Amino acid sequence: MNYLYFWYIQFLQNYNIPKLFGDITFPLLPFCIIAGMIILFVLVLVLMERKVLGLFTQRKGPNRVGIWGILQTVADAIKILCKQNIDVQGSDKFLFNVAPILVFVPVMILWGIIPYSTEFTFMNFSVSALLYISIAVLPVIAIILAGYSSNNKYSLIGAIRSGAQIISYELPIMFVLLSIAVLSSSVNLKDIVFSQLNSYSVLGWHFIPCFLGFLIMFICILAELNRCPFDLPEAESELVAGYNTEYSGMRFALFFLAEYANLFVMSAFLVILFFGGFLPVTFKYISEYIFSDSQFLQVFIYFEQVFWLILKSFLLIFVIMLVRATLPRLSVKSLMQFSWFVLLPLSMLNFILIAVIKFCVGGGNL
Amino acid sequence: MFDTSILCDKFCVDIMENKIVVRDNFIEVIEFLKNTPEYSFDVLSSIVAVDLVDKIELIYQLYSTQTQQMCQVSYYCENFIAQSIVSVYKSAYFEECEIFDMFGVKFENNNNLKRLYMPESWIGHPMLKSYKLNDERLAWNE
Amino acid sequence: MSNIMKINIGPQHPSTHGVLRLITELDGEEIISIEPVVGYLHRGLEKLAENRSYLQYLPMVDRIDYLGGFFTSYAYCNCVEHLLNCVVPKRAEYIRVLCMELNRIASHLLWLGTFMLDLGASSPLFYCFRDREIILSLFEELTGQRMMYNYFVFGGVRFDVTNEWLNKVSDFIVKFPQCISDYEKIITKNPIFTDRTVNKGILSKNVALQYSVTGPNLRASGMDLDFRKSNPYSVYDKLDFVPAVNHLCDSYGRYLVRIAEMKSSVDIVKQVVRYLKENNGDISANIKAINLKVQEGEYTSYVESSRGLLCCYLRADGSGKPYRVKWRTGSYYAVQVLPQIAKNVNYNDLIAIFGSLDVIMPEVDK
Repeated sequence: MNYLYFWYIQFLQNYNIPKLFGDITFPLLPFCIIAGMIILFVLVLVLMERKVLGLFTQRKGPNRVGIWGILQTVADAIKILCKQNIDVQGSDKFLFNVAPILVFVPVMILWGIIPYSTEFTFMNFSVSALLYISIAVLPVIAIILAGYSSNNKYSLIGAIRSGAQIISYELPIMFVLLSIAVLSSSVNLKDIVFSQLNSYSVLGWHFIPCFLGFLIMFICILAELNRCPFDLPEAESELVAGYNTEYSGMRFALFFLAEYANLFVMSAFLVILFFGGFLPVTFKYISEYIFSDSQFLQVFIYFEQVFWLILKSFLLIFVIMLVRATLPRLSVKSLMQFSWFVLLPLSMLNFILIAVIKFCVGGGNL
Repeated sequence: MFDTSILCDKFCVDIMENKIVVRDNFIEVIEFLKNTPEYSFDVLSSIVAVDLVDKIELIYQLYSTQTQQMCQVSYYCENFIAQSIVSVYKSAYFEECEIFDMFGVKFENNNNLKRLYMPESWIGHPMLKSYKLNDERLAWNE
Repeated sequence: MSNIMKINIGPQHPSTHGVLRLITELDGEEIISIEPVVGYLHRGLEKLAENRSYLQYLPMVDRIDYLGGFFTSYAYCNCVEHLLNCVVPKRAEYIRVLCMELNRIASHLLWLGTFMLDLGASSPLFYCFRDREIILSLFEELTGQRMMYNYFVFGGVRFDVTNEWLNKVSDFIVKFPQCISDYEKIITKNPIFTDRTVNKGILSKNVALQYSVTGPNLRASGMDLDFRKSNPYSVYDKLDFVPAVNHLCDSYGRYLVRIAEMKSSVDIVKQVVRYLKENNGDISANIKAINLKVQEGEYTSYVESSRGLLCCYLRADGSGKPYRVKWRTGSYYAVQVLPQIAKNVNYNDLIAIFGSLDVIMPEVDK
């Protein structure tokens, strides 16, 4: 980020614009980059979901718009933008309009917190993992607002279900995060990645000692994202569309965008915690083999790290979509019971196990 | 048909070729057919209403799961008033609402009689022979 | 101030399997009472019969239950043939049984797909439709139509079956049991599925008999009543099959009964195909159906359709038009029993229970 800042100030001074202007407007630049990335990734993810679901049910996904259906999401986006913004009678206008924004903004912030490579991190806090978890809960408030202000009984039921579900599934995530923090001795996401650095790449990754924690966290992530088998709030066959029944046009597009952006960033989070983040699968970086004499080797390594992070996240997203295609929906009662009576004790057990492992491996030091 | 001697001993009914015609004590006959172990007609298959122009014939089709026999009990209702058997067979409720809707027969002792198929504000009872449809040009004529 | 919320489910709703309106009173998420309102699909099929000749009414009969066109056709043709005292040739009866059993398999496959879709799993729908597609193309080759067949005539069937068609049926029947066991692998022991269907929607034998429920719903409550065995019609007394019964009384039991019914239909089809390949004969008694006049009389024919007992009452008065036609269908009584079995359950269990009853609205509304 520092390079970007200095480059920006330099660029402005070439045109005799004062430094103060540059200081004030600098935050817009990463914002534009994140927004561009989100749009690109969501484009790919929506199409990928439909194609993958088609793959699992022996059909082709969308394949008419563009070669292999690549432009399908663009067509969907244009369609949504051209729809009328319906004003629901009896709804609280301010809350109704603000709710989609409140769902989307925390997700954008999350995109800024995760480290894409050693140098490409938009915001590097010293406790970024904890900050990540706390911001990831904010969309819940927005969902409840959306459901309540729609003046629709179905939306209200969907919103309250969603709130209860997300809150119940936060706690196991905290315990698993604690055990990862014990393993890496830090709560900074970049440090967690570097603590998985090992000369035998895969063996250093945290999913080997902490496999139970990975499974627990995977299930909780599915619940956070309101995805099958936890998609009660959007149960299409029961509540029509749950908390976003009354939304149309751009506001619906924001909910949609937020869901898929959240999907990518949560799976990136999982990859960072358990699968070595942006570290390569091979023993050395591929760039080191190809570009070993170039003076830009470091830059190539940074871009390659981004590539590894995206590759691993997409593999995990593929598994999440596989789960969606296979399993039916859980009922409300077993959802709550599963979280409080099964996942929470297991995550505590996992924490104790990790502490014991770390104690033994670390030679008596924690 | 099955052996109707026990029924004839107790009630005064006419036995036709394939149905039993009851004139009075209708509910008692139905209860007798349901509760007697030799008959035990425990399933009400359906209630058919036929509009013979001066009266309406209600045919109750009963089935016995033990003897696997079908039985038809027929009752002629004049003046569009009949007795409800909801207390004997719970499944008669929808059928009686439908017959009220389509033929105009009011069933006593059925406290929630309402139209089933037609809207609540419809006037007339469609299945009666006196209710003419406008499909004369589609109807079959010799 | 009471907590009771009155919600109107339907008539337009993705999962009420047709146009059914349920006025439910909810206390939180628990159901206190349900009142079904039917009649949105009333087409007056019984009144239409009184102004049509016997032959003109025959194609209309398929549309009473669109998933079981052969069952209703058979019931109507059987009534007319009985009143005409005509004997249907053996080969025609066997062809009729073959068509009815394939129709039963197709109807249960569609039920299974939509039931899993109601529960949230979207993949089994496509697998079931893939198999249903094969059956529908077999029917298209035989009768010219995929759904409203118009194939049975008074006295027999319209076209003869060829040996090539019978070979295609055999190929399908040989591969089909493997498909059913594939579906069972991902559904029957799935803990989420059993959690949502076991002990939900308990329909005891007494309640079922009081409400005149027949078919798979009754057989899942422990009552061994299959009209093909107890009051055999057509050539069912010469065929060897085992009706599916179990004592579970819940949605899971109804699911198991329908899966077992598909397997026993496979046995019946094998026997019928063997008979048809070995024996030849007439396919129709050559009754002149135009200007057909039926002597005075009345008759009730009954058929075990895929939803229960299907009865057709026909009264003829010597002219060319029926005097009265009345249909008794299985779904009519399943809708009546719904308020009894869905008391004090959660709202999202209601959809699962209603799906397990296999209700088709055109059958209820005629």
